[in-house]
Amino acid sequence: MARANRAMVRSYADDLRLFPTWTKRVGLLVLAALYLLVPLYIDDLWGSVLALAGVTAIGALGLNLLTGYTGQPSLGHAAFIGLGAFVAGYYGGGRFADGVGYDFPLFVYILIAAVAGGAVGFLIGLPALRLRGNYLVIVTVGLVFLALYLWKKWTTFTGGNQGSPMPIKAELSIGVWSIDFLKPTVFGKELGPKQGLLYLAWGLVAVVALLIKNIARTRPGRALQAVRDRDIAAEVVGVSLFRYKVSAFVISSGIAAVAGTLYGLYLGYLTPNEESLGLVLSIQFLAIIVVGGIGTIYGSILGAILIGALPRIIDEFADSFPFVTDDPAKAGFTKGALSTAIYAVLIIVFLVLEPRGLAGIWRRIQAYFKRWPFSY
Amino acid sequence: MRGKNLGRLVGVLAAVTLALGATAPAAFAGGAPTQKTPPDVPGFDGNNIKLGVITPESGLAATVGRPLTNGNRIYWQSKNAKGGVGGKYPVELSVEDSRYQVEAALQAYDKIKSDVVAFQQVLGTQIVKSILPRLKQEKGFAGPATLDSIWIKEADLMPVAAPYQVEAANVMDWYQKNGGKGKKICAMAQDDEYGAAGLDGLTQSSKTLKFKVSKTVRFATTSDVSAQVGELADANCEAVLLVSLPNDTASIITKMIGRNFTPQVLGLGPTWLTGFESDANNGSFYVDHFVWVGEGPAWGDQSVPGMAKMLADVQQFAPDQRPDQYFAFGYAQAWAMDQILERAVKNGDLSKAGIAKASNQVGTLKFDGLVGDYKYGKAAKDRNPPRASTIAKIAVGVPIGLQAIETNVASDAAKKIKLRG
Repeated sequence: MARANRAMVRSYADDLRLFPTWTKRVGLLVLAALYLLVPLYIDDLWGSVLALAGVTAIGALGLNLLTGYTGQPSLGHAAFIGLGAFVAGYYGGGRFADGVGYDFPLFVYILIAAVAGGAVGFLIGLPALRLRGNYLVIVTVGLVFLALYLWKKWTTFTGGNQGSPMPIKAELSIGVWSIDFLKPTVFGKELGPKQGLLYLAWGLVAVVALLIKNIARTRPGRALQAVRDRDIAAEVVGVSLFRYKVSAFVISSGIAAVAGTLYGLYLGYLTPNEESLGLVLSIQFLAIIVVGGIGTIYGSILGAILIGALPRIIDEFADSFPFVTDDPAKAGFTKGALSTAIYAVLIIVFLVLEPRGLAGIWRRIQAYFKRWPFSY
Repeated sequence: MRGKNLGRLVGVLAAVTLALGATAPAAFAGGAPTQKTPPDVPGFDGNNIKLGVITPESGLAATVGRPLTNGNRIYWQSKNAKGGVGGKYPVELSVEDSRYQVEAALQAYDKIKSDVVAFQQVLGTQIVKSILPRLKQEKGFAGPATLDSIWIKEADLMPVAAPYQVEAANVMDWYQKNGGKGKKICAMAQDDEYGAAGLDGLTQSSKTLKFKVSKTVRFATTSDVSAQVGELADANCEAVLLVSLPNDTASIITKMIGRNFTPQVLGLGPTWLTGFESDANNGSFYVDHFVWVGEGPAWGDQSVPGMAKMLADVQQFAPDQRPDQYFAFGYAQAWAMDQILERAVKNGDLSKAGIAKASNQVGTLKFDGLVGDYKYGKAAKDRNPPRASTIAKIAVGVPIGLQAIETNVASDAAKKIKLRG
């Protein structure tokens, strides 16, 4: 008797498999090889672009857990990103030379950021029990303004209007093995901070993706999705709204704060203002999960790569377009304006034509090849 | 044996004599170092020197970035027409659009850092702060296009012109001497590093000039400022030190007119934009109630050699260039870099470390009055920025809309300003 295909789901255990088919396992190996090799050969520019995309992907994964899996819309992500970044500056030694803060190693300040983000997320999660939809969005928008005000006034922690330098090292030691992600040596090759951040950010993307995948495919994940689809019905069948809504806020905010620490490392210096930590940053995260695909893990990652790299791709290739001009006074688009326009068009196009985002397109491609060469 | 030793001695003496002969003219010509040919380094291929520019060429801040970069360009075009640095190395600018966003600026930095010997211009306080740790790590050198005092002691940066604190002190001194004594003084500043620098100058000068600041309000850039203007109006402020950028200046003045609130507005350098004076709604307010403080002589003042040089270059290389204070700053910034590069070429070292070293050997950066001379000294800690500013009233039909009342004056209050950095 022929063996059933590995992709066939016959039991709960089958359903829980992370990599059920050989193609997925090969894909995982390819990704692991890329993770190890790309930073060794990539130049500083594209290293910088991909490192930022990795940082953004971590934050987007956190938001997707909250908005995509639990159905709690939030525009407060920028507040948690800021919290994480300032934790890195204060506890990671950014201002230690000036006698301010601490000089803890990477693991410790990332942990502090995660706990602090989770604690604030808990407080924000409480009103979410009584609010939903647009009302919840307004509360989270208020959080961004409140946080900005706090960052500007809490000079000990953030440096106030002057801002705060970020850590100049990001060391991780396990036993005798140690690496400084801002100055790593890999396979005997000394790399720059961009390449080091690539390792750190994408390593954390893998950890966070695995964490969210594990939440999503088990009982808590089903509870979160039940809350998203019909919260009252979910409560009637025994899902605790308090536990799951608040937990989603805690985990999502903790992840966002972790992304914030890396954002701080990437920027090198952070000043609290609307440009760096304002509402636009929150909207950008929402755009990433919309374009990538709400409620999917790889959608958040694809969205972060696309939205993160888009401005630079446009900058690099814009000169080939006849309607791109260097002079804002002339007819046509400047590079910056073109980037913003394409960004806006992408969001509209995905919302109207493919609400499931890049993940939806990817699923269709997969489905096509599953049936190939038959069309039925 | 003895004859052999004598032969060696004669040989050594001959070699020493030849070596002295070769170096003597330079050595006796005033002790200037002999000009060596700089070896090829990133950004210098033996013929051309490449400098980086990271500036907003699109977005709101492009109104500042574009003329500033044009100022850089015209200076170097003029210099290149004379052969370039050291008379033989023309300078090329590699311009990247930062869109006034830190992430885009950092990527632009990473893109061109290996292709340039130094950065002629990096615009934006937050952007400079983010790039600075990288400059330190990679031993780079850059000209910040902001007047924050925090750059003064940074060995990797090339500040030019008087800081905002000095501007604030000079305009307050002028106001006190011109009818402002005993008047109710207030301040309106944007809520960031630039605003803090302006307010710092106001606070320090209030102690020297013995006046009280009755009310201070802050605002977020491009936000609605009705409440803040209302607070100043309710406090009956008779003078307002304004620390803003042009977009906000326009909306603040509109709100003041709307409330029929007409204090004497004292605006720091970046508050102003050419064309405000001709605005149909606000133009007369500027003419009657606005005084500007900034750098250098009035545009077109041929009596100042630095301005005359710039105007001659503008006429030759960019006759369409409109009068613009940001252009003049960009021109001065390139002039500063030129003095440092000239020294680096003389030293025969255009490497990043060589340029940083040259900056400690130039002594004082001189601009023939276009902006104040800047003492650089032997190390960054010795730097001392100029203390002079120009006070101008607003007038229609004059270049930039600014008519100088006092040119390049340094008040006691400005001289006493303590600059953090």
